[in-house]
Amino acid sequence: MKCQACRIRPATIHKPVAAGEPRWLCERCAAAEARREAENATDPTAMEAFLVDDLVIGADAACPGCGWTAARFRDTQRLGCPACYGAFRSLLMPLLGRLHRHVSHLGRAPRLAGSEPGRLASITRNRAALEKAIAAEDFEAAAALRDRIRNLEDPPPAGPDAP
Amino acid sequence: MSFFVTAGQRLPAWARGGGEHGDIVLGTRACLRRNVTEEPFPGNASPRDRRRLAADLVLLVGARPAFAEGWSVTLSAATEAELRCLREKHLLGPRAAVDEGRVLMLAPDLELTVQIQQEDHLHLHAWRPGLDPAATLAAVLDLDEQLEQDITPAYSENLGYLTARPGHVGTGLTMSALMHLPGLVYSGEIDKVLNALGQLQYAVTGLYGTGSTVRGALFVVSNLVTLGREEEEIAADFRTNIEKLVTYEMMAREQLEQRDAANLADLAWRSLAVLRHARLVSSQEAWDRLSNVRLGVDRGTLPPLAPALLNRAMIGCRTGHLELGAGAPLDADRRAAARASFLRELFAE
Repeated sequence: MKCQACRIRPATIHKPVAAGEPRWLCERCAAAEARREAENATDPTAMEAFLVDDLVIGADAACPGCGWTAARFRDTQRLGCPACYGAFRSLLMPLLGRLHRHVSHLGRAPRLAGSEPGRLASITRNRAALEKAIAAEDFEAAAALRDRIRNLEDPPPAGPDAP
Repeated sequence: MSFFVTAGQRLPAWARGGGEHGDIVLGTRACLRRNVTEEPFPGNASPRDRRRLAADLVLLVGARPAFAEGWSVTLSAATEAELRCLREKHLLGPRAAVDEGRVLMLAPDLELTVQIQQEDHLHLHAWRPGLDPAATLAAVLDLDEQLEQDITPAYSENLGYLTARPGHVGTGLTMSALMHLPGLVYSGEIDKVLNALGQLQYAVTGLYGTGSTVRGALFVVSNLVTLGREEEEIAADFRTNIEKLVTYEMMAREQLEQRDAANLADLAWRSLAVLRHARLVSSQEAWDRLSNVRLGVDRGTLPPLAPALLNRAMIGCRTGHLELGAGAPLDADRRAAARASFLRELFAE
């Protein structure tokens, strides 16, 4: 039987439709119809699921940070950890372009990003530095770090001249 | 005190009524998705790890002034009726995970809520009645800024805030409008409008029910693009598109009125009579009647009724609220009787 859409290629896919007779289509026409339907779909996850399903994924590719695999990403449309964005970058960039029509961020950045991380992260980072300083017997640096950690854990009250 | 002791009386902020275009846009929600750096996303964390991080996040959110007098609901400890109640108020999504280590935090006025450990570690929500993208965006960004003093978010300079779904990466911002669109539904124009919104990268779902089972002509319209646009631009674009939708709905209502005024008036009065007098009301009938009455009030066919009353009826006549009120599970017949009784009392002349 010939495909009922292109009438050229042999029909291999039996596609049920909401009203009327089911249709016989070739693989290429069925994929094109599915893409059109997904593009018109109003369910927020339909387009994403469709696009992810369409990716050619090496199932054994895994994130070194959390072990999440590309196959799990395809099944759930979700990633395992923030590092997955780096691990699956080559898969994700084309997907992001199709989902968002952009591939780089505009807009807010964390206020304390970069040189001034959040308080919890600062404490963790200073503690690690303190351990290193003690191990290296750099007691002057260790004393300064200890003071810094103390201030972070229990900041002194702002004085009357504080901005 | 548990949130559920007084839950029946508490209207979510979006349902208070009023606000810009309040007759068509019931409410607006801004949602920011955030994750803590160097932690697996909740879908990849063990229940134990979820509980551990949830405990820290509950403390951090609870320390914000807005949540000082609020509630924290551990979803795995909530009963089926309580979970239904949260979904009926639209404070919890229909597919929200409710197993271990998932928490919902609610500010006393319900203008701010935080879902902890759903798809992402934090979903910050701000709610207002009517169309109000600016206020909801400001509220949610303010909360985010407060939390960033203590949390280092998963962020990349290139891709912005990193989320469990690539569909939310970048700003992590989704603006949603909860809309009543009976004019477009009755005139058969709704599919055309929804398809056009799809082309604009907007998603439309039922407020209750999805696909062909959208109930009471109630829809949620949300932006899909979160990457490559600034937060304010997303909010401004959202306002423009929702205002267009409001205009289409008003035109559809006017055309219906011109074509079929007598039938519309009859439908509105007949529906009000059912709400005031019927002894058994099914869930589907309640949706339809309440939608007809709301349209009748908006068009001036019926005497004025406070929008908050209609919202209270819409939320309160659902299974979770009825069962919480009765203090026990109810079968379909008892629910129909309890629903009719609740509606009669609310709409009594």
